[in-house]
This record gives sequence, C-alpha cells and structure tokens, in this order.
Amino acid sequence: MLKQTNLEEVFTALDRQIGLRGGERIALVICGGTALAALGLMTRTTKDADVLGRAEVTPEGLKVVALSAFPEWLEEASEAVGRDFGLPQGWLNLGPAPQVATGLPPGLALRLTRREYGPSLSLYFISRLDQIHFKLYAAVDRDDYHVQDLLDLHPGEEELAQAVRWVTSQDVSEPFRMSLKALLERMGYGPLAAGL
Amino acid sequence: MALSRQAFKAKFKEDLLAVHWRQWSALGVASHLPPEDHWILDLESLMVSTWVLGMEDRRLFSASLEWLTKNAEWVSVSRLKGVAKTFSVTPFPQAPKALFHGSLLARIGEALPQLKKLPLSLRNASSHGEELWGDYDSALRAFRVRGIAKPLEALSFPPLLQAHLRALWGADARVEVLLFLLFREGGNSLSLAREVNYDQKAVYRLLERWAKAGVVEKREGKYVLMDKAKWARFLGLDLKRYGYLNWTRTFLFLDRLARMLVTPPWSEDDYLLSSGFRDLEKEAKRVGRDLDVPIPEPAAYPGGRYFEPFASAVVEMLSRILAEGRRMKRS
Repeated sequence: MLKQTNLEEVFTALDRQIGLRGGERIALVICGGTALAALGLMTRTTKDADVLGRAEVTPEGLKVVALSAFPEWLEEASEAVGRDFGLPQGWLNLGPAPQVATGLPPGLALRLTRREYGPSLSLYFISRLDQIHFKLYAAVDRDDYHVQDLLDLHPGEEELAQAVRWVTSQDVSEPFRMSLKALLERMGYGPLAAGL
Repeated sequence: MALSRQAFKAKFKEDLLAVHWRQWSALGVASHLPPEDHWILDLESLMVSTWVLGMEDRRLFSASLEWLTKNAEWVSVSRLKGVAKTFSVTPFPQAPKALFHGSLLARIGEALPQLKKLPLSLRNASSHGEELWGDYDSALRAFRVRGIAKPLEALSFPPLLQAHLRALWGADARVEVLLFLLFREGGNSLSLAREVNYDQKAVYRLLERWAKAGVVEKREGKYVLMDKAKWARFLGLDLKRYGYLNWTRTFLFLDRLARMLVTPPWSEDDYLLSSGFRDLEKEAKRVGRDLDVPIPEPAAYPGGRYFEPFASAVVEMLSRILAEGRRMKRS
C-alpha cells in the first residue's frame, strides 16, 4: 500500500527504474489519495496513484496535458516498482485521465505542488481546493471513502461553492443535481444545497 | 550487524575470487590459497566463469590461460562453447550487458597458439560483439607463460574426477552424466542434458545405451545409476566426503551478481540492487537449495529492504562453498 511514509521511497524507486530503461524525463500530475498523502492532507493508505496527465511547461505557463496511455518504459518501470513494493497491478494508473478532456477545475495548474524524485521523474500534486472539487464530483451518488475524504478535508463554504459550480458544469443532468443537493444536505451544507 | 553495500561488495568479491583460486589451485595452478578438496570441479564452467571475472583479477585470468596452454586436451571445446552460450544470455531485460560472448572464445583461441592442439578450434566461435572486449584484448596481449601451471596428468585427487574420467572416455557427455548420476538421484534425458550442458539427443542415446548395458535403470521415467557403491569403489571415491554442485548454474548466478555489483546504477543504489536481486530470485533459490541456504522471501522485504537479507544469504552461500572442504575434513 501507498502511505505518507513510503511515498518518497516508492517514487524515488520509480525514478530509478525509469532511468534503468532509458526513459525520458517525465512529469506527472497526481490526484486522489496519493496526492492527499503527499501533501499531508490525509494519512490513510491508498492502493494506487491516480495520474491525471502529464505536466508540461509552456510559454503560457504550466499545462496539464492529456495522456491516453503510458509510454512502454513507464509501464515497465511501474510494474517493477509494483513488484518490489508489493503494490497491486496497475497501481500507477490513468483512471482519472479522461477528466483532462472534459475539463479541469479553473486554475488547477497554477495550484500544483511539484516534487522531484530524481533525474527522470517529477510529480505535481493537485491542491487541497482541487481535491475538494474532485472528491465532491466522486462522492455524488456514492456513500464510500470519497465522502469521508471530502469531510476530512473540512471544506469551507466558499471552497465548496466553487466546487459545486465546477461539478455542475461537468454534469448538467437533473438527477445529478438532485444527488448533489442531497449530498450537501447530508454533509451539513444546507444553505449551499438550497441554492441548487 | 547490518551488512552495508560496501561491505557486501568487498566480501562477495573476495570470496568469489577465492572460490575460483581454490579450484585453479586444485588444477595445479600456483596459488595463495589451498586447493579445493571437497567439490568435484567442472573445467568448462570454471574457465568461463574465470574469464567473466577476468578483469576483476587479471592474475586469475592469466593463470587460467596458462593452465589452458598446458592442458588444452582435457577441455571439451563443444561443452565450453555450450557453457559460454549459457553465460551470454541476459537474465532479465534491464540487466547489465551479457556476461560473456562467443567472440571472447575466438579471441582467446587466436591469442594462444598452444590451443591449436584442441580438437575443435575456438576460432569457430562467433565474432559478434567484438566491441565488448577491449580490456580483454590488452590482457591477452600482455599474457606470458610464467610457469605457474602444471600439466593436469601430474595431479590425482577426487575433485579432479571429471578430468580422470576424461582420461578414460575422452571429453564427451559420459563423464558429466556419470558424475551427475553418482551424486544425484537421477533424471530424464532433458533434465540431465540441462544439468550437464550437452545436447539432449546425445544424452538420451547415451542413457539408453547404458540402460541396455545395465549401468542405469529407468525408475518412474528417471534414469538412475545402478550400484553407486560399486562405482564409488571403482573410482576410489568416498561419496560422503565429496560434494557435487552444478557449477554452471552456481557460477552463472554468482557472476551475474558480481556484474551487477560493479555496474552503475545498480552498484550505487541499494534499491536497484534489491530489485536486481528479485530478478535473480529463482536462480538464487536453486543455488540456495543445492547449498542448503534458504533465500529470504522478497515479499517480506519491500523496496530496498531486500538488499540486506539477500546479501547475507549470498555471503552464507559463498562461505559454505569455501568452508565445506574444511568442515568435511573435521567430521
């Protein structure tokens, strides 16, 4: 499992394995439980590292670029690290990557936190505010760890209001709006729910 | 006390070279170490392994060449090529470059005119991969006979059983198959061919001939040597006093480790070494079984934490190889 205390070791190992395979230097944007742990926002363990995309420095600033698949050398490197640390198959995955095409919370790239793990790998972790956006989106219609993660982030009214604006732009359907409203009420954000 | 990377590297190199020097000493090479007196030697595996490690100890390399110039007729060139081929396979995709290449055999064949008496020329070996052997070239050019190796026929003791049997039968599969069957339970033609580095057809034909002649019998699909005690008496060999190891397998595993330990980035990183150790786990377990040294389960030691328990097991393996003769002598 990935946890706050072994992230450094696991990603440094990934850097070494990429180097061994002659892979190019790569910068990945990480969200989910791994990003929460890396930034010290939560201490729970997680089984995988969710990759949102590749970070690319452009003349206009940092951009999150969509990735449809990992390069072969990164697949092999992550398999080796998975074996070496007893992580499940696909522990480094592109699960949330389609979100880049459908739209990211405004300003996400500006709020990324960069960590270097060696000559081949740097990671950009999404911010607490963006976690609130993603966790709210994931928690609607579910009653699982995403709800608990969202509560543990103790979002302020304004932060959650921003997240509500974003998630309602991602899914404009009526059933989604109703589920979101119910979730916000359950979480104790009545006034925000009432505005929907 | 925890074993550091530097301490392991130093101990491993010292012991691995000692294993080689002791075997060459048994073969009549003047050495600072006593001759191997427990394990039955395997000439071709020793030669290939010595040449793999040649640049770690140039004196050892040079001694092996001198021995070869005086004893070439004892060597099975076809088996030498077979063993060399086994050493030329990379064990996992990202491993350091192959330990060995046929082109080195060709270079040695060219460099030593004395080898012309070999029944099958080393010059037939492939010349592919020549760029790998720059250091070897200079060592071969510097080679001079220094009078440190004796002719093998002047020596007689059980670890040299392979050579003694070759005096009787010539350098063919019968020798290695008999040695294996003397010390092990037996096997089918495929497993035996793999053990002794000969072609399966040749081993099969030999075993069938021996089965008809009553030398071996087939038990549950395995060929087993009949009346081992009689063979042992005939060869003047106390089977409990001497040991048999598959030296190709043992040296291959140890040499792969040796290469990893001197090749960056593995040589500089506990985690990458641990990862490489995991890649060699199967080989390590087979050699460990032969030496009765358990190899720790990698899953119990995530990441770089596998380095220390694995390295300790390897130190134990080498110490058993080196100590076995002394232990057997006392008992």
